[in-house]
Amino acid sequence: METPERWEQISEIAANAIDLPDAEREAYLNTSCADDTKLREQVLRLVSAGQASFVRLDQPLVRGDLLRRALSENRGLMEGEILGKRYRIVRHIGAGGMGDVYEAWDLSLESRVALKTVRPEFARDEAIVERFKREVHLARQVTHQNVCRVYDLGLMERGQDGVEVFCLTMELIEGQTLAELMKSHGPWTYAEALPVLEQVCLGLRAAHQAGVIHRDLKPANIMLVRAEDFENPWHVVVTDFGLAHSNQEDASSWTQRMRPGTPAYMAPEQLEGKPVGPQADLYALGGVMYEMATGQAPWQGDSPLEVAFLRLNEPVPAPSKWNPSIDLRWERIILRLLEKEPGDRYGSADALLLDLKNGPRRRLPLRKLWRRVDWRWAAVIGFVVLAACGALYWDRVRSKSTPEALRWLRQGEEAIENRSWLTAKDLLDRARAASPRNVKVLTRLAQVHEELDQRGLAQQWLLKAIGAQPETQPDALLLEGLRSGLVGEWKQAEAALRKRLALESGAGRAGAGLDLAWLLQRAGQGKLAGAALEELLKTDATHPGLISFSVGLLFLGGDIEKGEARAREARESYAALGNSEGQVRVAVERAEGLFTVKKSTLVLPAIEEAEGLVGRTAESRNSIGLAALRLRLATLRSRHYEAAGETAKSFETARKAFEEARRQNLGGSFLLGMLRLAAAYYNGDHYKEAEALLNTVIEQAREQHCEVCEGKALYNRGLIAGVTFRYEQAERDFADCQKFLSEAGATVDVFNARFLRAANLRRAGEIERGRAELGKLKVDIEGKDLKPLEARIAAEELMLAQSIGNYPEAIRLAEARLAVETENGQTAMANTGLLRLMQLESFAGHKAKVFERYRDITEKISAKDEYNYRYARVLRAMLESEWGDATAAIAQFEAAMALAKRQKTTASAGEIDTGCQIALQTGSARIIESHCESLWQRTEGKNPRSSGQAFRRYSRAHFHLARGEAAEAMAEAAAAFEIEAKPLHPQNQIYCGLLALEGARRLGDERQTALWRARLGQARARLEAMLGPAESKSFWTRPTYRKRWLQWMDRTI
Amino acid sequence: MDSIPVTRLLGELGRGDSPSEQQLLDAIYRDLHQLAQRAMRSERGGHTLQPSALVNEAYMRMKSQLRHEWQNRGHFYAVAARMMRQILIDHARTRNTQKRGTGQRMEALRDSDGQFSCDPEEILSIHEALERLAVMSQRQAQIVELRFFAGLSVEETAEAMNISEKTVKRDWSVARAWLAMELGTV
Repeated sequence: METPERWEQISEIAANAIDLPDAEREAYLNTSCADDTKLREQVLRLVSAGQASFVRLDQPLVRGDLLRRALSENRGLMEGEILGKRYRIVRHIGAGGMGDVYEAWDLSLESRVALKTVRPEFARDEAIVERFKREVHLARQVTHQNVCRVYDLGLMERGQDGVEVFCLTMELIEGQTLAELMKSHGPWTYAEALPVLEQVCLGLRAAHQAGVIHRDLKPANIMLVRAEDFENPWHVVVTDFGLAHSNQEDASSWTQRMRPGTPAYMAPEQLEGKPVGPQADLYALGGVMYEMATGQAPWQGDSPLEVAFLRLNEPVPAPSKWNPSIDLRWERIILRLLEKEPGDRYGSADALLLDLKNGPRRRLPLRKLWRRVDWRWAAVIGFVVLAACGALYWDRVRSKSTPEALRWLRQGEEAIENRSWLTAKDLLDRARAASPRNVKVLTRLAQVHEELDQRGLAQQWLLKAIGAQPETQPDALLLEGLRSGLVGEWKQAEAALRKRLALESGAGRAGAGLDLAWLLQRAGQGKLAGAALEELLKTDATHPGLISFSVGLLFLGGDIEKGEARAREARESYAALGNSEGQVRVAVERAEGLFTVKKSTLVLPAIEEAEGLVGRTAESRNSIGLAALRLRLATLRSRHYEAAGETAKSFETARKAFEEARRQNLGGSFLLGMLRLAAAYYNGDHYKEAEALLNTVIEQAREQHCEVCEGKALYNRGLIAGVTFRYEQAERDFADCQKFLSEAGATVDVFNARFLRAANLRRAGEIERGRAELGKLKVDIEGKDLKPLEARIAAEELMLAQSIGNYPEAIRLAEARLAVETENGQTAMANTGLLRLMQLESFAGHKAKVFERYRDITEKISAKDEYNYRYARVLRAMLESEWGDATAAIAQFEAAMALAKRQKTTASAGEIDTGCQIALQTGSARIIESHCESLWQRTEGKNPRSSGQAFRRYSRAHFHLARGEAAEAMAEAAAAFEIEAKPLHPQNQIYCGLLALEGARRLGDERQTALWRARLGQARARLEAMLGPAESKSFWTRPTYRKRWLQWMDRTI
Repeated sequence: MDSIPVTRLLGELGRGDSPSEQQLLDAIYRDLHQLAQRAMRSERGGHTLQPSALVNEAYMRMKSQLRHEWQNRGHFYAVAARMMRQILIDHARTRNTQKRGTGQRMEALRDSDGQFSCDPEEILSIHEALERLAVMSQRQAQIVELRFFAGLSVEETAEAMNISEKTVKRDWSVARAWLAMELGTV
């Protein structure tokens, strides 16, 4: 070792010497080293070593191009640099987790944009790029003033080195981030924060509706732009939607882990790497609010890991701890947003928005009500809280299921076999209390809640079940079947349950078969369900569960005779077992079956028989199962009255049923009972009452996070808006409903809501949009095996074709639908389909075909299907009447009525109304006197507001006019015109108004004439306002048709 | 977690406080070291570390942490080379220990495209020799570090060290000769 000074001397001389030719080196060394022989020796050794052609050092350990490339890829963009021949970099704005942000000038669109680069370690990973593209693609669909627009995305050439940079361009927002603003701002008051938070909420709502989750909402992603508005000083834009990527590979990669700051606002489920939904964004927003309100983050710790740990395991300190003057409403909102379980937070940005505006509703009255109604919810909530606080604890206590739990489970399963769902729920709740982690118990609870329309709870139990380990393969298959069924993957569900059935032998077989039939029925595969049951009955002919389940399915297939026989069999089988509840259940199912096949004279006696049975057993056993059956009977009674046109009775029964449900503590059925009552109001044309009730349901459901319930209520409110011609309101409700249900994971119901939206568009006259929505829906449900919805879509397509007068298309669709219904064995439906075809062929003017069809129908429809058998004749009568053959029309109608007598039943209001129409066309007083008048008397005053009543009043006005009774005619027509609760379509109002006007004219009453002229003018204006622009509207609103119709009306006036 | 000190250090560096480059490197190095350990654990059978992958990670890491705070390209090269050296040496040490522990045949450190291979013991002896060289001439040791551990050209080395190319060439030829002697490869 030499000293540095000495070494410098040696180096100097050696460096020179190495480069010299051998001949000159000697002379050089002589002069430079002089007499320092040691120096000379050292230099010479170095020179000799340096002459080696290769030493290890000549091959670098790492190739230099790697470093150059890395540098070049990673070097920031320069001012003035042009990217992808399109964007000129103006300045560097800032740096984020993914890369850098620049202001750039878009040369082709001549506008300023923000350009964001993506760091190469992300851009190199194809999986990340793919996901990124997908998310950006989604985010691009969001157009909202509070969401930053994304424009362009991809690899862009840097113009030098051939290096490409992955980047995206977006709206340039010139403002400051909330993070920056917060630094210089003390704690925000609620009033200060509200305008900002509202806009963030609106932005989140728009994105969530488009299916985009932000995943990385934080103050740095909230931009504020000064607005010249005193009330609202900031315009708020949320940036970087969907740009954060958080999957597990990422989370474990060190670069991701090290990304500064990001996890600070992440929801617990996101930290744990679970799938995230809109609630994760709401959690993040809660964190942002916490910081705004208190000036600090909810959890403090020395490291991100510690903070994450606290977030997962500790309750959040109340914001008032740091800011005692915080608005208490705000504090409640923040704490709810920061709930650890996503289900405990707000259901949606919308719900949050509502609370932000109004402050959270007071919860006391409902709480009280709830406590009285259903204590089990409390148990559920308690469980969730416990689970959140100590997952570890549960793992420790997970022990073998107690014998007690297994006993409850066995009894619960037995109740499920007998479809005594509430009893099953009671038993399973007890089983779960004894063994909280038993997979089978959890699975069965999920099934029961699914059946009881409590999908949120069903999902919760299922999630818990999935987290544990099933004990046997059949148990695992049951879990898989239920899971698939719950998300609408029927095929997989069916496969799992069929496999389970194949594995079971002996006693378990019937139960497994019943589970399969249950699923098939829910999937709308009644025929398959029936077939599965029949197969099992071959080997197990006395199993009461099998027999009783098959009763309803037989009726549904239109086989009344076999259904009746099976019902008797089932009741005897239960009687032999001394199971009185089973007997009642069969009686209820029979009554429902008879109602389904419109065997109206037998329905009421069947209901009364069942009620009698309940009465006899209720004394000895006051079980929850019987209470549920009573509710079903009352509901059926209400529906029966409704079908018979006795709406007042129908409504009264529904109301009593609801009160009964409440008194009997029918659990979750309570809100659903309210929904049923609303439906009865709705069906009885009590629209205002129904809407008021639905508003209550929505409010309470929102309060209790019953998203399915809220969705259903919105769905019904949308229906009401639709039939009262408020199509925009309907559109909003259906859209909200869609959102709520999809958040709740009620996939099938979401499809239903989308279907209603499409149908609503048609009704609003937006034929093309309706058709487009329907088309999209068809694509989305393809292969999902949703038979009932497919049938409804087919029907709607038919309506679409019909409403634009495209009869060939309508006939084609009706034929296709008929084929499906025949294939499915839905005899009654198929028969109705035949009648529909006949009607369409008549609309299309194919008279010869109609007669052919009629012959075909009289052969095909068996006399067993009494209603359709009879209705074919009623329809024929009406067609004859429309073709001008009065004699044939009247004769056919009378024949149909005579048939009804032979069938020992009463013709329905619809049939008699058709008769009335025939009478109007043919002037037949006989039909009116012998059939219509009795119906009029029967329904008179029962519900003076129904639309059927409007038609009847309109008809009566006609007959009064024919008899020269002008005053009576005018009165009836006026009553029809003025019907309130379910307003008449303005066009129908005009028809009624014209009759009243005619009456007034005949009376020579000038005042009334003037009055009706004015009223008709108003109705005309309403009609025109409703029709809107002439384009893309339905058949009768086509410009020419509409013009002719209005001209006709004007002339008449 | 190392993230906080690293970020803070980088921030200080960015503001020109220049705390100590060594401190910064130590902090970043701990991350890389963890990465290397993970990479080795996940490799089944032959415990080979692929330098190009590691190098890339190191660069990305430094770049992303320092972003625009690099004074110049040379500064970047200098830091990168120092880190490369530390990572590779540490890897070689680990390999050596394992070899001694298990008596297995020593595995060569091999680039992904198999361009060269380097015996861990050889790397260690180069490293140790460089330490000795640094006592005599810091500049020469650094030149070797840049050229050998980071594969820089003469021009890049000059830029990184802010010295003339001629100086680099001269120092390199002497250091190369000295090391060849020290390592006994001549």
